[in-house]
Amino acid sequence: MAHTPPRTSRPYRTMSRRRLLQAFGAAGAGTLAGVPLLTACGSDDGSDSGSGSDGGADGAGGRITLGIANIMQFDPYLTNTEIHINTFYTYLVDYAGPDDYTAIPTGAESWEFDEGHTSVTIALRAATYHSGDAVTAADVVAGVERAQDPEAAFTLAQPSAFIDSATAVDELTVRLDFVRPTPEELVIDWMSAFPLVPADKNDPRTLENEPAGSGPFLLESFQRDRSLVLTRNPDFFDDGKPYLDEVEFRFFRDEEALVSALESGDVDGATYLALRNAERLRDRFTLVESPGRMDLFFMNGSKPPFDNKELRQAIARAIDRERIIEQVRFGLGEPVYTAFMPSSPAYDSAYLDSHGFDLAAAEQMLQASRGPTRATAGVGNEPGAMEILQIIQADLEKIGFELTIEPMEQTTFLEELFASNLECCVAAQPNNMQSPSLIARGRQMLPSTDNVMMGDNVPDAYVEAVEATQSAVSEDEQATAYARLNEVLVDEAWAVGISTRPSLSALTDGIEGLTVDPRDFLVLTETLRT
Amino acid sequence: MTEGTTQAMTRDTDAAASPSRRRRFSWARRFARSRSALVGAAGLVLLIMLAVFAPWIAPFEPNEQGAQHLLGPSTSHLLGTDELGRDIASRVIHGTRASLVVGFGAAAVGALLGVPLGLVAGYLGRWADTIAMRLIDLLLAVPGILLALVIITMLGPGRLNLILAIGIGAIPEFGRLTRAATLALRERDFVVASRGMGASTPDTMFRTVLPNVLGPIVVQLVVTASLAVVVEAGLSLLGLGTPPPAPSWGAMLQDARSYLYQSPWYGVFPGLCLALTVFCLDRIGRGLQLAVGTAMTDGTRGRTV
Repeated sequence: MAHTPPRTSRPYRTMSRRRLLQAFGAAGAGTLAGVPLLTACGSDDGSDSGSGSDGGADGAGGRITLGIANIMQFDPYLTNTEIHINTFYTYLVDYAGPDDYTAIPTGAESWEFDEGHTSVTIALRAATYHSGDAVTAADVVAGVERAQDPEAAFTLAQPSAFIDSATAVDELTVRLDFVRPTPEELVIDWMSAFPLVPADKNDPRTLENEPAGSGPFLLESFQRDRSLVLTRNPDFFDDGKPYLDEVEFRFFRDEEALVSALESGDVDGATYLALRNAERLRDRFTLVESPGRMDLFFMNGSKPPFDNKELRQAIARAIDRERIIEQVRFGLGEPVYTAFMPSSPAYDSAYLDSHGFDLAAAEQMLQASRGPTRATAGVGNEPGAMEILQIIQADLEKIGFELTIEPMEQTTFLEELFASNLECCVAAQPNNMQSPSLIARGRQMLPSTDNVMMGDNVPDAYVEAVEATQSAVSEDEQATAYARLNEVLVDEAWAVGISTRPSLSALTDGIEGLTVDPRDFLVLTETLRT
Repeated sequence: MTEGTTQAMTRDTDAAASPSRRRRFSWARRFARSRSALVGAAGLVLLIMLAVFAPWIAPFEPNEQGAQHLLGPSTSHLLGTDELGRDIASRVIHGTRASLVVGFGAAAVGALLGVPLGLVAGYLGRWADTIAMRLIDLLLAVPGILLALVIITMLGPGRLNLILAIGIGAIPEFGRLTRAATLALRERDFVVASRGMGASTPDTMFRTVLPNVLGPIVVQLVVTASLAVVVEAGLSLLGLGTPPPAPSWGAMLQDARSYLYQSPWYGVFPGLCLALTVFCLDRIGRGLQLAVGTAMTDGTRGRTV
């Protein structure tokens, strides 16, 4: 016979105040200590479940969800950092790969240079915009006019400086006349960055909230700081592409939350991840790496203390690129001495030896410069900038130069940078592709007094070197012009290269064909779920 | 005079003084009877020792970047190294300074500005009370952390600015507490007598009333310090605290968030220290509150008539 123990009523236990306090104390300590660990487990963006992984059959169709941490807007004339732009617009040409500058006709069907390289005639492809209107040569003419206005199109203004005029030859043919003989590479780079936008919608106000292109995807919905949903453009010129029916970009304010969302299957891919996550994700996800951008240390030569060229040269020798790549970029990236990627035709690795990290030389040069021995660096939330500055700060301290780091909001940082108020900073520069003269397109590198780092002190030698690079057509001319540009940049030393900052995306198994172009834009045209 | 006479006189003097002295230090005895308060006090003393003797205790310079980065705890680096190869133990030890200096500095700023405000409002009443209280209402209308954020944004990051930002946010608590205590005392006999004997208003306020409201103010000082330590960590977590490379627990927690996968232990130790400091200050505040609260009912302190 089974014996059931009698149920006894347990006396009601009261908890003493001391015990209660001890319990609270222990819980509080545990919570505070555990906060960093728990942060990794949560998403702060309020995004709920649903991976959206209802894949399509046979490698076509279907839907993917990509997590990103970038802000966004829709005007391709005002940004070179918005990753989704590429999905809305067709450019005149695309490049074959991140390091492959073979031009693939897209918006342009063909193009032909005149013998003296003073003009190019572009035959446009017969295609339609998302609105259903046809692409015309008049749209290109209107686009060129806007591109040449720095107020209305900052991203394209400097790269378009070689164009004298644009003329619509017929409905689908446009001719660009150049200011001077211009190398083909520069024109092709420009074509790869020139988006087709209908003339009547090509203004900042219209494009701020709604894209108006002819690219592979249409805008389905957009909730600022939450999500962006794109649907397939059935009228895209490249038949059968894109493969995906729908792409959702989901925004994450926190990188850890983004990675956690990927690991938990909440998103199918995470894009533009910090490089420290590479090791963590390598075995479980497909990683897509591309050359990305460059980190540079900028010194403001328009005001003390860095209006002293010898001082700038001394500081440039105190930048330990190898250590920065190892500790801040987790071994990913390559050293650069100025704003030329290793794939650039102007990149000359010899400068890494002759002008590389050498604290003893830096100390000697610092003393010889007789300049001030303190400066303040501004820093926003540019990934890795704070760590890079702290490494530079520690090295400079060893040679008797005191660098104070002043953290600030990213918006304030950009305002101060563009107002030429920062003494020095670390900032990213885009890939100059195959045209070294494109080095001059950033605000810190403009070959005019608008240069926010040099102002009125922008060196004449630099302006001349950029102009020479813009007009060097033959190989010999180009070699001479690139060598001179390198010489000037290293001598003036206001834009000191640190390293490349590769782009990193991670995808779950079964997603293929996601690539990144040389401009660091995601290419989703051939992405598919297998 | 013989030695025996002297001893007898001393005993008599002690005996005469003992009731007053006993009353004066009764709060200390009550505080000492609370075991948790004593644990808190011992912890705080330990933290103060760490802060004062940090350069001698810490195994490395807190900003020295020589070692490999993100190392785990080992015999050479007890708590491991951070993302720039700095010794975490040394930075945690030196970080005690930032936390305690900002904590007590902010509490002192709050007390120095809030107590006179409350004293004037409570003692003078009428228009002075109205102006002071509206000023306090104005400060109370803005949440403390938001006020600190605005001040830091205006003044820029830095330890002194941090102290000012958090301290200004603490003014209302000190002001209201002092005003309430002063209101309760201003018509008491010893205060009326002080005025009757010709003492000036400032003299009566600061030499007669203030010593008798110090008890709750001291408690508030400890509570505010505890809150300020947490706010300092919070602001550092947002990148608005102590500027780099100076070590701060909040900034270390902020940095550690980015390296949870590579070194999960990185954020644990600054977090534990922060929790320990808040726990100690909380225990001391609680003990003082009980001790001083009882002592306040015993009688008056300071200059009485």
